[in-house]
Amino acid sequence: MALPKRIIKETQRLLAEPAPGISASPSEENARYFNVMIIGPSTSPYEGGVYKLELYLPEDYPMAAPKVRFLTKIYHPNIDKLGRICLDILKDKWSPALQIRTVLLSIQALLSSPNPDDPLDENVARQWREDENSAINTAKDWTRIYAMQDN
Amino acid sequence: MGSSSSRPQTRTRPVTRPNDPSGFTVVNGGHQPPAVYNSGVQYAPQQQQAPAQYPQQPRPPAPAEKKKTKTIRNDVNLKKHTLKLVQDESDPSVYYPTFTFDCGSPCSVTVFFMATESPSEKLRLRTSLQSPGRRVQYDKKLGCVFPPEDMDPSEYKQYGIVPALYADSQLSSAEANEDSGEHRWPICIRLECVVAEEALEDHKLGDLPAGCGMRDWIQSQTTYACLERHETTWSVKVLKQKIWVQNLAYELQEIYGLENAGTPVAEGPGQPSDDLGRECVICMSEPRDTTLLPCRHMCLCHECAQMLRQQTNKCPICRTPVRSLLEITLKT
Repeated sequence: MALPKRIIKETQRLLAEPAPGISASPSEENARYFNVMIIGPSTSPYEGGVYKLELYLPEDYPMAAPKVRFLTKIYHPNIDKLGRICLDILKDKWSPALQIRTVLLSIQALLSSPNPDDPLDENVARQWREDENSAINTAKDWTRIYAMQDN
Repeated sequence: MGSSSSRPQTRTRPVTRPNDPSGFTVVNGGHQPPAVYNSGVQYAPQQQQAPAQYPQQPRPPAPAEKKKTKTIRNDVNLKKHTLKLVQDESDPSVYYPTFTFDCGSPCSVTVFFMATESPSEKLRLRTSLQSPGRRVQYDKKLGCVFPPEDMDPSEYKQYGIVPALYADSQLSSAEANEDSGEHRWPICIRLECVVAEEALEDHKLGDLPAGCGMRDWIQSQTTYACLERHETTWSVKVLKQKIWVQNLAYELQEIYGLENAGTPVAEGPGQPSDDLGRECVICMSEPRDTTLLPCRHMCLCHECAQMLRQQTNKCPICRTPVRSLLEITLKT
């Protein structure tokens, strides 16, 4: 099936004017599948890390949200072991006015402001609530171990 | 609202020109929309006056029914973003309003302070605390300025207010009387003209007292505003605008996104066209021509709007459930 114009345009714009700290490029086999990299925001425990994600545009995009998942392991209360992300705009708060770019910016923002009160990974969230300093240290360790070399 | 005559903003085409390419079309999703949407969205008729005036045809429940809406022409328009309050140079206790406006016919401007309007008196404005300055006459022109350039600055304060004479609460909001339905507005600015068809009948606005109830031969726009205090100075904030056309009052409603809709879509690198709001937010290809109601976000092309109706039926911008669609054909 032909690729909708919107996807072509979004792809062109993502490549021509990437958002700071974010890159997204379509895979050669499937123009709906994007390889994404997000740089850990400075002043977050993920600073210095480079995070790989996959993003897939389902058939009914943009009426349905893109499916996004972290491929790089990350210690974050709203991201689980499988890399699934707890973010309202990827679920019930999706709007077709949002785009790949805005989704990735939102994920980047989520790295800067973890929300342990709406956890996806209960263990991580509990540690975040009970001992934030040690949680942040664990997140920094994971950044060093998993996000700072070629994985 | 802009001054360009190519856009159907506050000055829309008269209905009686069937060949006119401009137009508003309500696409109705099978429910009975409020009367306002039958009459051209931007104008919400006032309660008691409106319903009987509109043809209420029985409507089949089939979705996506399209019907041509009524559009009305508004000859006078104060551009609300230009309204400012200026401190008088000779008497710093006085603040007077400045603004620009368009008039398609010769018009008069009157400024009222602490004016009371009741819902049953054809927009009559009563003033008891401060009498309105005399009417200021203007010739037909786009981009008129108030106060007029030929007015002596010593006269400006006739059109001004001394905020210190009032309590802050009187200045900062419209005071509503729940029983009578009356409102007292801190500032009202009324632009009035004689409708073109009646110009030969020897009607003279000057013969009427300032603030009198509207007549069927008058076309007017009234801007209702309040004052806002900033430390030691004051500014003005527009609360609403109403027009009087063909013996009916309508409240003006803004369409969000109309400003950019008519211009061509920018292409190529260095043009963040997706942020400028000219293309449909869903397909990102077609120009925006459809406004969602009731939230008035003009963000979609008509095809995507139809599709949205069948699916989420929520505004992509604000997520308000969509009740009907208004398709606007822009004149190029």
